[in-house]
Formats: sequence, structure tokens, C-alpha cells
Amino acid sequence: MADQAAARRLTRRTGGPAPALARARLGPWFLVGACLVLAGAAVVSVLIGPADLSPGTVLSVLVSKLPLGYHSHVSALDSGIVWQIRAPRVVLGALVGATLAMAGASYQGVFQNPLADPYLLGVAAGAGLGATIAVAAAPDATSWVIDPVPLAAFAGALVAVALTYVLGRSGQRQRTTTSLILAGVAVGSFFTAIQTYTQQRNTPTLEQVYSWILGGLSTADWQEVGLVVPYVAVCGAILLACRRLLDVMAVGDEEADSLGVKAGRVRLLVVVASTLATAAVVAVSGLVGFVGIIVPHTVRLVVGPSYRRILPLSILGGAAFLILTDLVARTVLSPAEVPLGVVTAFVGAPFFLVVLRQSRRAS
Amino acid sequence: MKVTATGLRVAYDGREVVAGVSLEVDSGGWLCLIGPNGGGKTTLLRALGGLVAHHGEVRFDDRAIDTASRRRLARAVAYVPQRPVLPATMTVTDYVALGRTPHIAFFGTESRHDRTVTAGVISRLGLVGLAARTLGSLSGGEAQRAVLARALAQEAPILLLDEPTAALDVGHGQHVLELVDELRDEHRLTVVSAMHDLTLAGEFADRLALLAGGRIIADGTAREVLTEATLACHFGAELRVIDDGTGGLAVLPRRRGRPGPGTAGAAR
Repeated sequence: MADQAAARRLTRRTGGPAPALARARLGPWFLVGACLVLAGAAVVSVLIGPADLSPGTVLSVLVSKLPLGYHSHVSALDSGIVWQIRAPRVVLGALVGATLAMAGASYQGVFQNPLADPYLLGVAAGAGLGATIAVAAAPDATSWVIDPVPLAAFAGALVAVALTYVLGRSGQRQRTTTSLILAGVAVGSFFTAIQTYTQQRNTPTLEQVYSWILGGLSTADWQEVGLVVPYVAVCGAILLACRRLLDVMAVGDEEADSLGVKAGRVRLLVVVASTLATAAVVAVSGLVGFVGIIVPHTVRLVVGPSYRRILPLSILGGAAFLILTDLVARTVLSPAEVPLGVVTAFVGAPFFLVVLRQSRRAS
Repeated sequence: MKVTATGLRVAYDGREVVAGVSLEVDSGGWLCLIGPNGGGKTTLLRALGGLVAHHGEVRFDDRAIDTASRRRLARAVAYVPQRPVLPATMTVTDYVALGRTPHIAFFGTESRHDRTVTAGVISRLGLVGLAARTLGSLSGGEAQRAVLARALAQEAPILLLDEPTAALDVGHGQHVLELVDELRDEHRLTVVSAMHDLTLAGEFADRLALLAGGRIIADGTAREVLTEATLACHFGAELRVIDDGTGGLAVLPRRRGRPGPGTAGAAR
């Protein structure tokens, strides 16, 4: 009898229409696979560069930095290339990619909008304006002890998002996120207008501003990594802790409320954490676009709608994606560099259209 | 758990939608709100669930809901809206598990106990075969059972149902209400529902309350509330209420101008 029942259960399980094998918990294989991809991307990226170092040399330098008591016999110059130029660039690329993807995924969760990411609420326009003002006001600042451009970009991004939040909420009677997104578009346009005006008034700095806006990691060093890590770590921990709440948000604000979750409060927490981390990485990398849209949507297509899987995999996938696009950016025209934002957009724009078609078909 | 409301008022943009409602539902009872569109049924349900700002007082047993946190409230009362948001790509299991939210810490995830409760509810509502399916692939009746399962996973003693049968055909509607009735019996749930089908409302609920213009016009058993005069007055419809001979009442619409039962003989 018991066997019969078990058999019936089995046939039912295999006989039905192919079920989406979604279980909210993250299967270890996805995680292991994503970690391997990330590690592979990092290794390949650190091995390749204009200096033509052999893989043995590079690995020897990296191993000597581990606390194993091993000393490499590589020249100081080669060692410097690996450890002071390539390694921090790969690490920074990973942090930037992970943050943009994580923030994009979180925004899409709390706004229930597949095209949302922090840029939409004014991070991009605010950071762009901040950087432009800093460059225009102090064009020789690269020789300063502290580079004012990242600080100004960081401040600009936070001001723009705060403004969007205040304006978007004050006109909001019903509980809708549309007014917030519209406010973001308005604030973004306004800041971009001022930014363009400032840029045109200071044509000698045009090239410097332009190359910052298009994004890139060519200035990467351990100091920049150190500046970004605290924001990324704290905000990343908060967002990962919110992974189940983001799943609850999928049923809308009123039903989330009826399940005991104050949707508005979760949204504010997620927006603050995502924005802070994004502003920090954008300050050092410039405006790298599309990562926050491409990566989470690719992950979503593979593993389904639960943020318990989307968030960790977006972090790993975003890091790998940005390391690889940066590798392309600095090798295709080597020794010259293609701006990173150009490469991500070149891949991102076509992908974006595919996602648009998909989400339109689903709705 | 007993539900008491006293002098309940809710206004949207200055317009009073619930205008002074007092009611009482005993523990394990089923009160059905009936009334014309715009009469305030949905708003009253949402006020009872603490989901909308209101004046007056709602008490669960002896505790006023204003003094409870959102989370504690969600452990006491489960709310099923008329048109629940059903994320198309979410699986039934994941959706039902969302009902455990009030029992899970703010930054936490499901414990083993939460998963056991979820699995129990899924099997009780006959959703085992659908557990791995996505919500977008369910029929109306299946989706309504999934929504009910999520509400039950909350393990709340009070269940608020807004038009639970609105999207269902006669058979599926009846099955859902029978299921609610069985569950009410098993768990001593207190049920407050809003329904448009007066015959079904009279059949399943212990008591009906007719709500029009934000006020309770009539409150009592089906026989007391479902009278032709009251319904004609508040629904603006010509209806016949017929005793089905076994204790039930049937409310039938009648086309305007067609001779009524009293005039049928005279016309011939």
C-alpha cells in the first residue's frame, strides 16, 4: 500500500507539466558555480595586461602576498605591476560590479519595477553634477592629497536621491511608487541640465569630465578599494538581510502590511542602503551603466523570482561581469582604454531590449 | 477570538466611507457583510484588519488593535483581498510560505517549524500537486485556494475575506466557502467576509449585516436581513426571496415588468 502511494506520488511528480523547480532557498550548486565563475574571471583578468608578464610571474607575486612565508624572486617592477596596478583594479572592479548589481536587484524588488535601479532616482545625475563641479572648480586637483572628485560625486548622488525621496513622497497620497520614480526622472533631468551647463561653461575641463562620466577603473589603487569597502560591506550585509522581505514586497504594499511588514519602512531602508553603496562605488568608478539591470535580470531568468537567490547571485555575477568587461575595456585598444561605460552599454543596450520584450510579454 | 467594533469611521479625502459602524462577532462565528457597491464593505474589512486609518475602536477579545504592533496584528488577523497580487513566476509553496511572515524575525528566514506549517497547510488545502507550479499557471479556483492557504499559514484566529468567490464559477465558489466553513470548525476561526451573492451569503454565514452608505442597515440571521422590502430599498433591484423548503433562502432577480407571482393569475 505504502509503495503504491509512493509510486503514485512519484508519477504525479514526473507526469505533470514541467514544474518550475523553484524552492526559495539557494541551492549550493548555484553558489559554488557563481563563485567559480568569479574566481576564474579574477584570475584571467589579473593574468592579462600590456606588460606581458608570464602566468608564473603573476602567480608567484600573488602567492608571496599570502601569509605563507613565501618570498618571490620577481623584480620589484613586475611585482609592482601585478600588486599595485592589476590586483587592485580587479578587486575594485569586483566591488563596483557587485554593488551595482546588488543595488539594481534591490531597487527592482522594492519598486516592483523591472527597470528600476539607483540611477533612476538620481544617483547618476547627482554624481555627474558633483564631479563636474569639482573638476570645474579645481582642474588641477589630481595633485591634491585627497582627490575632491569622488567626494563631490558621492555628495551629489546622495543630495539628488534625498531630493527625489522628499519630493516624490510629498505629492503622494495613495501608496504608489510611481510618483517616486517620476520625481527621480524630474530631479535627474534638472541635475543633468545644470551639469551640462557647468560643463559647457568650462570647456577646458570637458575631456576630464567626459571621461569620468563614461566610467572606468584606470585610477584604481588600494586606497580607492579601502574607501569603498566599508560602504559596500555594511550596505551589502543590510540588503542580504532583507532578502526575504524583498520576496514579501512582491505581493504589494497593502498585503505586505497585512502580513505584518511595513512596506514603506522596508522600501526606505533598502533605498538608503542601495543608494549609499552605489554612490560610494560611482564616486571612484564613474557612471558605469546597465550593470544594475543586466545582471539581476539574467540571474532572474535562470533561478526564478526569489530574492533569496537573486541577491547573492547578482552580487557574484555582477562582480564577475564587471571584471570581464573591464578586461575587454583595457585590452581591445591596448594600451589605450575604451571607457568602461561604453563596453557595459554595448553589451547592455541589446540585452536591455530583450528584457523589455520579455517583461512586456509576461505582463 | 471575538471581534468588536465600536463607532468605527473611515474617511477617504474627507468623504466618509464607513460612517459609524458597531458590530460584534463571537469567537468561531461567521459574519457576512452584504450591500450595494460602494456601501463600505471593503473599507470596513480593511479597518477591522487595521489596514486603514480609522476613528472609533476595534477590539480582538479585550485588546484594542491600535495598541498592537503591525506584526502582532498580523498574527491575530489574516486578510484576503478581493484581488490579491499574485506574482506570476512565484511558486505556490513560496507564496504560501509568505503567510509565515508575522512569525519570522524582521531580518530572518523560515525555520523548520515554519516549513512544517507551510507543508501542512498545502496538504490540507489539496495543493500538494500544485506546490511546485507557478501562480501564473493556476486557474481561478486553484489560485483562490493558494491565497486561502497563505492566509491560513498565518495561523491567525481571525480571517477577513473580501469577495472570496467573486472570480469563481458556481461550483468552485461553493467549494471555497465549504472549505472556509470546515477550517472555521477545525481551528475555531472567526470569519468576517464581504460577499455579493446573497444566496451563498445566507447559506454559509451565521449572521448577515447589510451595509449601505457606510452604515449597518440590518443585522441578523439570513431570514431577518434578506427580505424583499429591505433588498429592494438598498440594492435598487427587484428581487424575490424564496424559501427553498429546507431552511435555506434563495434570492432571485426578476426582470423589471415581468409579472410577479401575485399577479400571474390575474394576467391570464
